[in-house]
Amino acid sequence: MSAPEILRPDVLARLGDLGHADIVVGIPSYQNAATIGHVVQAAQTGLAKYFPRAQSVVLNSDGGSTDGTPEIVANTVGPDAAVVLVSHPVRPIHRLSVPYHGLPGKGSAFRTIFRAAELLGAQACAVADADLRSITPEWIHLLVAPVLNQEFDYVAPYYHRHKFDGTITNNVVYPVTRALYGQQIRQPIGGDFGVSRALVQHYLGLPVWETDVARYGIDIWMTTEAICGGFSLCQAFLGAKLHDPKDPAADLSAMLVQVLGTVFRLMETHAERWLAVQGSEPVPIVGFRYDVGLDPIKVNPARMLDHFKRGVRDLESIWQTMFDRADMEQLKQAASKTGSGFAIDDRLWAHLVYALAAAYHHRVSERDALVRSTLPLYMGRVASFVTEMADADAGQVEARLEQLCAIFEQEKDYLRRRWSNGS
Amino acid sequence: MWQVVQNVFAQAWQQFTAQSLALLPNVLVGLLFLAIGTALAVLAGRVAKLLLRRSAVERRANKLGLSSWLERAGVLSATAVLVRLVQVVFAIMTAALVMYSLDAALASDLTKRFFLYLPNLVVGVTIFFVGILTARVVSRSVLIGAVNRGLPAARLLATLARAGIILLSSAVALEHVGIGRTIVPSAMLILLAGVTFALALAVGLGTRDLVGRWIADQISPPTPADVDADADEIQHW
Repeated sequence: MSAPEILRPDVLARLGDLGHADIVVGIPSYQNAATIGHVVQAAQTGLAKYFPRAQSVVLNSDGGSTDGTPEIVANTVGPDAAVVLVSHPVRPIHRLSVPYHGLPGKGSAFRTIFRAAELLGAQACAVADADLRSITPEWIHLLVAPVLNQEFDYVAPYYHRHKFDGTITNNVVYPVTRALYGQQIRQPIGGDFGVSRALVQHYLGLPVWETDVARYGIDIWMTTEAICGGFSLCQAFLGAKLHDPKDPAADLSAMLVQVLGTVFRLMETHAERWLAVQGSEPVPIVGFRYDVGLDPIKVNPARMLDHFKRGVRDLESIWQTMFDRADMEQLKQAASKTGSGFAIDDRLWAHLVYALAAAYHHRVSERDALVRSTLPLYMGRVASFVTEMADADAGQVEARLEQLCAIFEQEKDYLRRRWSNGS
Repeated sequence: MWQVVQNVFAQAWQQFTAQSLALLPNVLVGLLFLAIGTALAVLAGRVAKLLLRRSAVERRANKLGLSSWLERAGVLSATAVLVRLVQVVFAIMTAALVMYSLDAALASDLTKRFFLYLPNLVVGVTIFFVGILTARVVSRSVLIGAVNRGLPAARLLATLARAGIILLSSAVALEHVGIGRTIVPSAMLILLAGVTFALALAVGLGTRDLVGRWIADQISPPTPADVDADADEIQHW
C-alpha cells in the first residue's frame, strides 16, 4: 500500500502546473514576517545570479502564521537585475507558499518541501531558515553548487557565530555527533542545508515523520541520516549567521527533549555503526573563508549558575539513577563554588552526557523526564563555559571546543560500557 | 473442690485434643495446599516470564506505544507487571483452597462474600494504584518543572502534589470498598479546607515582597540600566 499523499490537492495542482524544477529552495516559516522577505529575496537573487539557466522554485512551507508571513512571500518582488546580476535569468523563478500538515514543527515543513522537490524532480534542494538576517544570494550558490557540480549529497552549513551563540551545538550536539559518527560537521543542527535528489528520496522513505523529528529534531536527524546512509558530505562556509532571537517564551527543556531525544533515538537506530567508530575525520569545506565581526551579546552566567545549583539541590534523586557516584560528588562540589571558581570540567561533562544517553537507552525512568531533568546541568555547563571564555577571542573559543571534542572522543569507551551494561 | 477443677481441666483438655486431632488432617492438607500453591505461583511466574519474553511482549508494547505510557506511570517493564499478575491469581486460588480444606462451610460463605465484594475491591484497588502511579508521575513533573522555572520551593510543591493525589485517590478507593462512607469524605473536606487555607496564607505571605516591588515599580519605574543588568541574550540553538 502506498503512503498517503501529504500535500493538499491544490498544492499538488500547482506543482503539476509547474511540472519540473532543477532546484528547489525551501523556506520553513512560522511568524517570520519581519525577516522572510529578505530571505526570499536572497534566495531568488541567488538562483537568478548563479543558476540563470536552471528551472527554480522558491517554496515557503508555513506552519499557520498569523502575522502575514505567507502574504509577504507572495508579494516579494524578484531580484533587481540591474544591480546584482551578471547574467539574467533565462527562466522565471516561481514562488510558492504552502501550508504544511502533520505535527506542528520544522520537520513537517521540511517534509512538505522535500515532497514538493521530489514531485518536481529537483536535482538539488536547499533549505534556509526564515529568521535569517545575514543570508545573502551567495548562500544559495554555496548550498546548491556542491550538489549540482561536485556530486555532494549533503551540504551542511559552516558559519561564524558569536562565541556564546549556539551553546547547545557547541557543548552537546557537535561533540557528541562528532565522537559518535566520526565526522567533523561543525554545525550539525545549523538549519540551512543543501541536499541531493537521492538524499531527499532517502529522507522521505524513512518512517520518522510522526515523531519528534517532525518538531525540533529535524536538523540533527538529517545530518545523522546523511552520515549513516553513506552519502557524500561537505560543509559550505556561509560567513556570519545572524538571526532573529528565538521566542523567549519557548520552553528550553521541551526543545532539549526534542533535540537530545532525537540524538539518543538515532544512537539506538545506528548503534552498530557508532559503536565501531574510533576518532573522527574532517569534512571538506567549500567556499572562501573570511573573518567577520559579530555584535556582542549579553550573557548572565549568575542566573544559569543559580539554575544549576537548584538542580543539584532538588533533582538529586533523579540524577542518581543516571550518573556515577563519583560524578554526583563532583557535581555537588561544583555547586558549592561561586563566580570564577565554578567549573564543570570537560571529562565530567562528557560523562554526564554519555550517562544520560545510556540511561535514556536503558529506560531507567521515563525518557522525556530524564532529559528535562538535565536542563540545570546544561545551564551549569554553559555558565562554566561562559565564565571561562569571557575574555577569549573566536579562535581561542574554537580551540577550546576542539579540546572538548577530543575529550568526548577519548571517553567514548565509557559510553560503550554504559550503553552495553547500563552502569 | 479440687476434684471439680480437675474434671473441668480434663474435659477441656479432652475436647481440645479431640477437636485438634479432628482438625489436624485439614490443617495438614491446608499446609500442603499452601506449599503446593506457593511453589506453583513461583513456577507459573517463571513460566509466564519465559513465555512473555519469547513472545516479545516488551517489543510489542513498545510498538503499540504502551511502553511510553507505562513508563510515564513509572512501570518500566510490562513483562514484570504481567508476571506479578499471574502470581497474584495463583496466590488467591491457593488461599481459597486452604480455607476450603479448613472449613468448607465457612470457606464457601467467605468465597461467596468475596465474589460479591470483588467488583468493589477491584475498582477500589485499581483507583488506589492508579492514584499512586499518577502521584508519582505528577510529582516528578512538578519537581522538574518547578526547578526549571526557578520556583524556590520545588520539592515542597512536588510533595504537596504527590500527597494531594494520593489522599484523593485513597478517599475515592475507600469510598468504593465501602469503608468509612461518611468519615472519609468529611475528613477529606476538612483536610482540603486546611490545605487551601495554608496555601492561601503561603501565597499571601510569599507574594508580599512581589506585590511590594510591583507597587514600588508603579511609583518609580525601573530605568533601562536596571533592566539591562539582568538581561540575557544568549541563543542556545
